[in-house]
Amino acid sequence: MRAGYGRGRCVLWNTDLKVDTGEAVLITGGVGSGKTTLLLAITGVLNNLLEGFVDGSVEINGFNPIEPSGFSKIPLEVGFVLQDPDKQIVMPTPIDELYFTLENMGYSYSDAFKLAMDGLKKTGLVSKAYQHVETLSQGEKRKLTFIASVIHNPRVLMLDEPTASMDPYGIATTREFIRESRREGLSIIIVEHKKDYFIDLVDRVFVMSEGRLYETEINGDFGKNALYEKFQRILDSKPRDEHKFGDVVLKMENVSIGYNETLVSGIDMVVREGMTIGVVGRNGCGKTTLLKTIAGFIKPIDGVINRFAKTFYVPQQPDYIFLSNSVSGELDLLRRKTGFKLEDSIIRIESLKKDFAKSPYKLSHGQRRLLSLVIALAYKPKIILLDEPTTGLDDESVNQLIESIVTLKNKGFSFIIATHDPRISPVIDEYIFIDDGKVRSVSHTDVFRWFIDVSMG
Amino acid sequence: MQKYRAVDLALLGVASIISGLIFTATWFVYEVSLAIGGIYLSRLISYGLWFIGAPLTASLIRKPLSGFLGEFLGALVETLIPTIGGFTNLIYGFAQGLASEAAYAIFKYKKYGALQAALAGIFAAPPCVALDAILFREIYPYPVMLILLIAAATSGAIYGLVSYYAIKSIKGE
Amino acid sequence: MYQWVRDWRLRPTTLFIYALSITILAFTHTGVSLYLIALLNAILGFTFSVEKPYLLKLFSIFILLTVWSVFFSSLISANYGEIVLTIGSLGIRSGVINAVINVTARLAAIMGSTLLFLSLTDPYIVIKCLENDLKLPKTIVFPLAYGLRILPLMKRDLDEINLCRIQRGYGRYPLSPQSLSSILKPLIAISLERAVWTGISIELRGFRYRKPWRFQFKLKFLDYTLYSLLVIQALLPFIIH
Repeated sequence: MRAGYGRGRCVLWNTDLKVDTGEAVLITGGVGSGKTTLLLAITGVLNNLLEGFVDGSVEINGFNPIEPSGFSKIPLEVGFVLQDPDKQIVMPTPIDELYFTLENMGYSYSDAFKLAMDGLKKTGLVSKAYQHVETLSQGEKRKLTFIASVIHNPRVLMLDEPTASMDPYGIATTREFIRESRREGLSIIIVEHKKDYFIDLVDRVFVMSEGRLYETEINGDFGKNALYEKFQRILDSKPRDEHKFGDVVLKMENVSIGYNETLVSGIDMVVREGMTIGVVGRNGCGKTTLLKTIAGFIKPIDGVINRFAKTFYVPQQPDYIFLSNSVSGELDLLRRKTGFKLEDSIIRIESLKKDFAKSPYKLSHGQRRLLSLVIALAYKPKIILLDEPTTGLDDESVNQLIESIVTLKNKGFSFIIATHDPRISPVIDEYIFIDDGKVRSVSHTDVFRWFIDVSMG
Repeated sequence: MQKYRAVDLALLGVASIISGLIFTATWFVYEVSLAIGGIYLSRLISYGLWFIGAPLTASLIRKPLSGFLGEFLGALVETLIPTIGGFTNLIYGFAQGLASEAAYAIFKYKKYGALQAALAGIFAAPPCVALDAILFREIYPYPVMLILLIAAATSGAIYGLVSYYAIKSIKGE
Repeated sequence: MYQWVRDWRLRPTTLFIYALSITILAFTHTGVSLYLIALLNAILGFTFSVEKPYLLKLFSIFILLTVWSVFFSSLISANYGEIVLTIGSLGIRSGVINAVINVTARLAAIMGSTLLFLSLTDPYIVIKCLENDLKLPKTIVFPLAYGLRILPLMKRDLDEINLCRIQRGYGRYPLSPQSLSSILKPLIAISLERAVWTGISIELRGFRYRKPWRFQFKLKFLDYTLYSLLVIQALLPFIIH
């Protein structure tokens, strides 16, 4: 099968895939390699909804979703989990979200009520059934999307990067969901670039590279121990440069943070020039609140924050930061506000140069992050606050990010990075862990042990 | 008539909410500009914002009736949020929506460009000013009414163009 | 349970129709009928808005502001009739008083009924009831339901965008069309991407075959009361004469 988004822009070449009933298959590969396109192609979404094309044949349980008549059978046979729960949930309350699919499929109200209630009980969401979905945590939303995808008992399940923005608890939930779906006998296709967390759950593994699909052998190395070793190797491979840290740029004494109620208390922190602090904890524990308090957007509830340098907060979603119609437009605005000149840019932006006329929203994810970093630096902050900068980045992009951060650190910039991703650990000097409203210092090994233990169960 | 696909409906939801939020915020702008500059300034600055639902939605979805629905559903959202004005907003939204839709209809729904967006803003002005006169007795001598109408229409044109170009820069066509 | 769709002491649909009708009546009726309608609905709205006090505050401000501007505009255009009041050198004639009273009455009727409607219902419940009772098509209902779902998300988006604007040295409030555009763009860009995936999500969940459940409902005592009240108010001009 070959497929693409427009004639002349073929994304997938000669891909052949065969999955037997009850089998689970993992498709992995770098960002942009075409994994999501593959799922969109085989469900018929690419050609029926997105005006793309698919050459070749696809067959799911005996019908062809490329044909419109076959495509109409997809909802019944296939359960689909999208990358971002916020993009998948369409109804204001959890119970209506579950009703939605069942109503579409023609279930009677009484049947639907029973199924929906069972699903909510299983995920512990019954008490929130009639509340707005935005009162749910990210983890709860994820559970809701899982239940919603299989509530009508499809035989096939497809997941597109289900752990994209998840903390280790979210990864554990995803693993549990896949295990259970296998027990129910579903055939499963998982697309995930975090392959290490799913290899032990599937029968076969494929790698997608530049639009082509290759099957690989599952060698014995997987599971918790393999992950421990992998992270240890990452740590050891990049000896942290022992340069001296400079003057103190930020000092926090016994600070409590929160919006109306205290979220975290007793925070003591000292940040020096050239230092990088990593803030770790589960989703919702207060990492973003901490960063925003340091940046000055939220007043601390208690305690003293002494800032001796300028801060700049880079949000998790780089799109929030753009103001202009094109990359060159952004640079122009920067020049006008801060006198920034392209030649002075400390980090390498060659990859952006060819896309100057493009709208910032049309850049790739990695490019958008890069641009947001350039924008941040133009304001000459000494302390840069990064909120989950590695979300959605594959290993190679993370390495590029690490490179930029190291360059900047050597020039005296300090970073405070909120993250639950252990891949960025080589660049972090000290970790603090937020747990249940309290903060404590932890070692690098502690962090990735926590991550692996929680996610792998 | 082209059918509305699922994506179009989701976009309609998005556009209605954005329009509704803008309509709500515009009350503040209106009152402030009324206090500072009187009836002329308030029309010029704020009325176009109340007409923005149609050009925004039509430029986004580019299908027949998208302009009307954008303005009307935006007004419905505004009613439910709720804002000052209550159900009167629905009446305004209905009338303005129909008028703006005409701007696209006269081009036989083949074009959804800058000119159409500006016209959509301009066309919404007469029903709005007329409703003001009928409902709130904002009746002035003819020359004054004419200037008010022109101020409102100009405002509509400006914000119609703003919405068109904003969407154009995102979609990158 | 879909209690609020199937049994409700006073159906949201009834309230919706009532408020909409009163709004229309406020323009078709004049004179004593109008004043009576205004009084009745103002009392109703006032009584029930106890549940949501911020609504009352909001509406009171609006009425005051509008009366004020009507006063001025009618001074310019409708200052005829006998002089009723003199402030300094300014003579206020009956035309002005008339205009102000009429508009106030109109507003009171509209605001009162709207207040009644909003105090006793919730947006999502209204949409579901209207879908069921008025058989609104899914092309209208889905955008509204989806809109309600994403409303908090968009508010959050707006907050984040403003945060970044302030950091980059721009004003918080868009004071010019250009700054409005710069706020609209990230908001629409993010929502656009979300909407595309939402469209895919609902198609994959069978949206095109959707036929929502229909529940039979019976009008209850309070519904009949409200409708009777509506009919009486509509027929007031004939009753009075």
